[in-house]
Amino acid sequence: MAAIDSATRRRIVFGVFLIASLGLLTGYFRESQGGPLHVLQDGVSAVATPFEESANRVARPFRDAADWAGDAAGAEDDLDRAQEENDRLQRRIFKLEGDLRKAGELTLLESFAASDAFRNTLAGYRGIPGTVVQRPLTPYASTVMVDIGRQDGVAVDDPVVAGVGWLVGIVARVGPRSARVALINDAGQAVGAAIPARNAAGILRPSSGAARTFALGSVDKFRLVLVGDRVVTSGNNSEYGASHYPRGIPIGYVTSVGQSEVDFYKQIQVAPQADLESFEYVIVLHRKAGQ
Amino acid sequence: MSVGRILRTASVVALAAFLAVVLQVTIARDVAVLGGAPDLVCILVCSVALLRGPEVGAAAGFACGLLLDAVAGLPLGYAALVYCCVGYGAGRLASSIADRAALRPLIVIALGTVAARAGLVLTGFLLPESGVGLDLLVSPALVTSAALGVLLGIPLYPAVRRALGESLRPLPRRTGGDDAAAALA
Repeated sequence: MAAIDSATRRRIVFGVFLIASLGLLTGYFRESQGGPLHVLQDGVSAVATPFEESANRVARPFRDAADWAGDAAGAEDDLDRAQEENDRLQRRIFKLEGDLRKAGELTLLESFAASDAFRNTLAGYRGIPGTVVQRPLTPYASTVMVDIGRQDGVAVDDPVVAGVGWLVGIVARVGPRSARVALINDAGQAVGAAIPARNAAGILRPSSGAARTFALGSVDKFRLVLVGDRVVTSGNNSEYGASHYPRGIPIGYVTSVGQSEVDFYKQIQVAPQADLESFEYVIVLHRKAGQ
Repeated sequence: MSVGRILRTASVVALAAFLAVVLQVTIARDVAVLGGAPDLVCILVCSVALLRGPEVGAAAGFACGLLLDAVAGLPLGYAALVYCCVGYGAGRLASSIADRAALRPLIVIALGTVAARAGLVLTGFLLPESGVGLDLLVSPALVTSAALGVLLGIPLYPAVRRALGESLRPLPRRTGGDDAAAALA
């Protein structure tokens, strides 16, 4: 048999990897969540989680410094005047501000967990606090990974809140010590949402046109809805099945309302209360057994 | 390529890939400018392709992409497909640019970063329920990602080169379809 020249060999090798990639993609989408490729992915992800935590720990002081620098840029004039005499104090402030910001976020979450709203609205749920350890920057999906998992009581489809109980997403995958949270701005997400003040309900999805904006669909156009109305989870079941979100979790505010003669429904845009790109602490709401 | 050379390449790529992927999913977005973050995986894949040729570049791209898919919770094969193409393309491109061009690695890394991001968007657009819009192809993030890739490529390319045991002397000029390994032999 004639020897394969280098160009042919190169093309064969490349072709093999291309076919392998396409085969993996096909297999991944065809199999169920418990399929071998998903299990393999969860295993690799679990191995990487401690390293991600370490990387985050190392990076945290630098993040704090960057946050401080960002805050300081807004007050540049004042800082210029006081720069020299405040050098020593600023170093201390920089450290304290970083601690304070994190403490503030944690305090918000703790106050939410201890609030009447939590006790009344979420009586059947247990709050499991966690920290965001991974926030991949890819155009494909909008997810974060948190450092709590099955061993902490987290389960798939548990709702996730941040800040003072603002909805940020839902647990999509769970490993022994980590869980992947699909954020509400992930393209595949749909949340049953309501405007309690107007007795209106619909389905909230990420807006395809603008980042950080949601479209609240299926709201009857004869309902009165105004800009500024508060939007919360409805807890209603939909054509997609039973809702995983309990009723009454704050989502955001109505930022625009429109309707046309030919549409049955209003066109409502909603801005989320949670900053989906920067929260560091979350509470996973896990339904108590028997509830 | 000798067995020792293959083992050295594989172990260096494995270690560097793990490091790059972990940093990519944890802290890369912290240095994002106008939405564009440095693509550490792409820098690694392009560097390996530059030093070892298109075949090894494709293999490194596939392996790094697959690891990124697994760690970042992406569909397995998604990033592997894109980075495999980028690795192969970078290796081919490297052989068509004058070897003594000092900026050759940086040009390849910049083009590789743009190609990787565009590939991720295009592939994501074709996948079911991805929600990826083609408007991302004209985002300024494409340019800033490439610029950050070039900046990081300045220290990282020589580091990869040293780790792979290549001399700092420019490689001899390659012609036609010969890969780097063949040229060095």
